[in-house]
Amino acid sequence: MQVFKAFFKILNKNKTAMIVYMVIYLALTFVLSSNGQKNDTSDFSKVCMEIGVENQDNGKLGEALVAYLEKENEIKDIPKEREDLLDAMYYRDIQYVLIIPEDFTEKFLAGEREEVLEGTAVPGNNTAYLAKMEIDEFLQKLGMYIDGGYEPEQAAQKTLDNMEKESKVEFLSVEDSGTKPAAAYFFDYIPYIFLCIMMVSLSCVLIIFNEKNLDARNRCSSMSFFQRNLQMVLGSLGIMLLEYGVFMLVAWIMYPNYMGSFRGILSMGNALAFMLVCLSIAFLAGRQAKDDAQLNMAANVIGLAFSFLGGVFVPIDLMNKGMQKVAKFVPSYWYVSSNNSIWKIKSLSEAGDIYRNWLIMLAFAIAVFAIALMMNRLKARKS
Amino acid sequence: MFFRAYGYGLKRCAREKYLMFWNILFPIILGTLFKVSFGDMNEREFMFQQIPVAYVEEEQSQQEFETLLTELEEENQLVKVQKVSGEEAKKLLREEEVKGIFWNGSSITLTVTEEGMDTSILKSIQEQYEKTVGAFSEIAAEHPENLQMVAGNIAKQWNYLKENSITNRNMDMMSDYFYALIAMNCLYGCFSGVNCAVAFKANLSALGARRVVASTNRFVILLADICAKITAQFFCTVFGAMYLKYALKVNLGDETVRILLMILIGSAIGVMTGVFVGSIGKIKESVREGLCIGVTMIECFLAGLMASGMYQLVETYAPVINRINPASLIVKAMYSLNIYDTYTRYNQCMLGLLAITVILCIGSYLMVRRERYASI
Repeated sequence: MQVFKAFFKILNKNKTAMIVYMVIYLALTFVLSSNGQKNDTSDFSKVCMEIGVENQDNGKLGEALVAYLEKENEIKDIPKEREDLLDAMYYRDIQYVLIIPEDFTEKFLAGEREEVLEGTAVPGNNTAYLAKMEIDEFLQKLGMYIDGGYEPEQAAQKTLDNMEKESKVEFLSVEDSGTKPAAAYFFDYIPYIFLCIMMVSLSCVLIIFNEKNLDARNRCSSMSFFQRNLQMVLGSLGIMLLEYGVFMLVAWIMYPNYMGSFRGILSMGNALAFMLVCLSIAFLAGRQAKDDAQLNMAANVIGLAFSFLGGVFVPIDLMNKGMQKVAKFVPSYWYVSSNNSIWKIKSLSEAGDIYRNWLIMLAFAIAVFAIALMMNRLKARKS
Repeated sequence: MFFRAYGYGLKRCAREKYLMFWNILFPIILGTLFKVSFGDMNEREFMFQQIPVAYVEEEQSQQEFETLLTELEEENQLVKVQKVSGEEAKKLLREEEVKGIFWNGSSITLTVTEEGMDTSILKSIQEQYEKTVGAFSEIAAEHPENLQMVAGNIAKQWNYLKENSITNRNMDMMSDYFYALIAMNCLYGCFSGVNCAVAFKANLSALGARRVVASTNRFVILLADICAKITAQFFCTVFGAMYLKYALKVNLGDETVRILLMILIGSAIGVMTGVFVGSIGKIKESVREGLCIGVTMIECFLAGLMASGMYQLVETYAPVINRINPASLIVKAMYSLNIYDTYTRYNQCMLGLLAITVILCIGSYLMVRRERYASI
């Protein structure tokens, strides 16, 4: 098993890059999974907006309006400098700016209600509509109570009480209100990291075997062509399983409950199916690239293209319809599609689409592998 | 002699195929991927679009709610209502053809599949109706004499808010990704900077050794070489920016001259970072390149190349990093040109970039001056 051993000796020399990739990935996953777990209730809650408010009102009604807005939104001070306000609105730190003038209560009680407040929003932004609706809703009720003959303070209190009542909102099915488990975040970015890590490990090993003189020396050795190739295939599979094993082990340590469930098994199967695609791509790249620099370019371009187009970095439904169709020609699309449904299904019998996606990924792997072998054959004929 | 060396420097740049890939092709590929993935995200996610909603009428339905929805559809263009049966409504919601279902029966119920801006607006519509009904019955019970006045005022449909516009500039947050891409393109000049330093040092390259024995002043050659690299880097980045602006139709603003000036100084920083790293001690070339990639990537990460809103996050917790990070300064300069009405902040960024360039120049000079090689 000389060739097989040589595989791992070369791999050992390149371990730094692999370890760097792994550590960065695990750190990022940890941050992302703790970030994504903010909302874990099954009740519907409205979007919380950041509203900048300047209340100059001399009366009590302005205060009541701010108290109402405060309940479901975050109230912020408006920056004094115009540049700072623009910054805050650009980065959506403040989504709506409301100015309550000093004569607001006075005018409102006198029945002058047209344009009594000043509002500013990011042009065309949908938060403006929600903010405007909430303010309108409050002022309309307040107006009703005042016109109904209540004292201003009493009317304000009545309006606030009225606003307390919750409306009935239901989710279409239970899983819609469910929260994505932290472990699912771990599997979200797997396509990118698997591709990169296979490129920096397997392809780097294969490239060394490609070197012209070394290849000639290997060919004239006593070991048969079949033996050597078999060991190379075993070596490639060994590297793949080693890397796959490390990631799955980390997943087991970090999320034992999830990994022990049938969902964990499906996630592992999904990752393995994609790993086979990565194996075939790394094999193709390793046989074709002439040096490390070319390999580096290929790893970056393929890794990023697959991740962006396949919906790893940005959710697929945010792309336009045409691109969503193109995405189906990228294997990571099928990985992401399975990954998004695994945490929602309730039993293995609902996993039909997931198995289909695995088969598609397998077909991709076989196709790339076939291309690699064909190019090898063409290259051998040329030489 | 300077111009001859400068010409040779330019020729050498054109022959470096890998550098051409990283400086021209890679930013183009990355820009295209950005555009494809989230080029339309602003319109899709943040800009208001009429909300499609299904409406199901049940027994004991309330006529007023239907009227309210028709009004919101026809006058305010807030929602787009489809009147369907219960089963069909669920199917539409499942297929994401509508954002929610209003069930109009003895009470109004809203069914959704997710929490978000659109569904929050739908909930507001539902609340607006229910709370008006609630307030109306309360007033009817306690002050029936004023009911007519209340009804009259509701019918008036006041416009409580006077809408002001803060700016008509491009407020698309996703532009930051493209600004950061331009910053990355400028800073990738560090690779040619390292080459420049390696070709200057006799202990690192044959060309460096040859130059040491030449009669020409070494610093004239170095200066010409650096200028050539900056020129090449400048044109590569301008090409990338033009691709973004004209091919991908990314809104980079109309301040062409100021953008070009910024790219020039950005390219100078990129190349000088490389020269600086290349001048440090006696480390291997591959390690120097690794250092350059590491530094550039960290700078770009902090400026928001990989995660949206990163610039603002750094500004909140460690603003000093944004003042000394060239990638952040480039992003901020581009942003300032597009958002502000004045050039004050753009000028501040440019001063910051110039200061960093000068510091890198002085640092590199201090490291390579008086270097002498023993005769072996």
